[in-house]
Amino acid sequence: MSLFEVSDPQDGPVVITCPPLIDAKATDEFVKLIQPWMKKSEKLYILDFARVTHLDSSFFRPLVLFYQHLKNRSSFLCSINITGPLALIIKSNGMENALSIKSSKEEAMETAGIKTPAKAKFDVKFINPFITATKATFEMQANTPIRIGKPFLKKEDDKVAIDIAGVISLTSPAFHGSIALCFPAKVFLAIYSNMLGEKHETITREIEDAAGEMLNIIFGQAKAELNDKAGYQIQKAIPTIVRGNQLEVHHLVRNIAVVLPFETDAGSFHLEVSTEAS
Amino acid sequence: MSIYADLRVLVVDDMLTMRKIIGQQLKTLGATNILEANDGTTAWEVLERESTVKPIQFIISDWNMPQMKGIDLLKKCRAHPVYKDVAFLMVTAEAEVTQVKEAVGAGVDNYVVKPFTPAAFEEKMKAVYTKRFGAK
Repeated sequence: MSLFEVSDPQDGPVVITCPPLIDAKATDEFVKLIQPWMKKSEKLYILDFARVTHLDSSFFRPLVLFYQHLKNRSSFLCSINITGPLALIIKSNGMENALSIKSSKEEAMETAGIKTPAKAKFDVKFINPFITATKATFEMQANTPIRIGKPFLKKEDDKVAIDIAGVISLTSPAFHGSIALCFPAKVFLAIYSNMLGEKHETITREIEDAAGEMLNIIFGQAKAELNDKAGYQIQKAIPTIVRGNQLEVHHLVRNIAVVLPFETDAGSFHLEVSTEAS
Repeated sequence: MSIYADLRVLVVDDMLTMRKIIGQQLKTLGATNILEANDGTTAWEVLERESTVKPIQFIISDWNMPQMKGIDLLKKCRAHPVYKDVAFLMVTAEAEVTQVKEAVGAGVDNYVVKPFTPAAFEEKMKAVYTKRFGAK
């Protein structure tokens, strides 16, 4: 079994996870490992030093040869997870350039000009204004106390079936995306009744715009907070309503959304926020 | 008798739900003469139509609507010799400082940010009424 673990190039750059002990034996193995790559190179090789506790300077010779070879072919060699003592060894051997130390795999990919896939990362400071606005909107405008559940990521295959949703686009110079306020029919009808004192058995055209209006208010509140305090420059938008049995919301930009679940006495509903850098 | 009983009020919002909410709150305050429009263009048609019968005295308008927006309706009113003094309350989800300033600059009498409580709505209604029609 190899001391070095190598990722499948089909999954992106070649990531070589180094063994804890890089001694003469490991160096020999590294020389054999890079032989095929000296003939046919991938765009980027990343050496991951996360497990390394000992680094013998004999390792640097084949490394420099490999680096030169890649450089001549416009390919890249980068290193990640290089900590204090390791960094000192590398520096004292003058190997900073050859190893091209990066803080992450994404940074290494950026160096090689490889587009990184959008991260399923949601900033709490970005999401919190939507939670605050949703709570204020339902409690103040719809006389419906709500409790926030644990936010989660909805991926492409996840099915969260609903009956009605208000959808609005998110556009700013930094990102674009969409928000959807989604209800099962029973919950929507109960909230509508709390809001206007009208009882309805089914969702009709006459009452469906409440989903859009609630979303419009949430959007307006969150937008003001994000624009005034964080300078996002989110643009105005008008909501649209989608309705149907066992509806599923698919965000056009990137079908991953953070789902903010809310609980009412009549059941749960949720807000989906999906964004991607412009 | 309510100070709003004889007032002709025009509620402008593209969302029927919000027109209903505002209408209910106006009725609670004693208003009886309430008209509706779902955008600025329709609101202008109502203004012109009603001016020959009994003019609209008080407009409560949303900002963000298709066709003519609330801010454009406000500017059009203020620029018109007949409607320039109509009481104008903006009820909107647009809560950014720049927008409030824009509305004030265009001559809005007051501004209610959605979501709002009945008490907040009543307070703003009264402030606009007092400004335009005097304290009663």
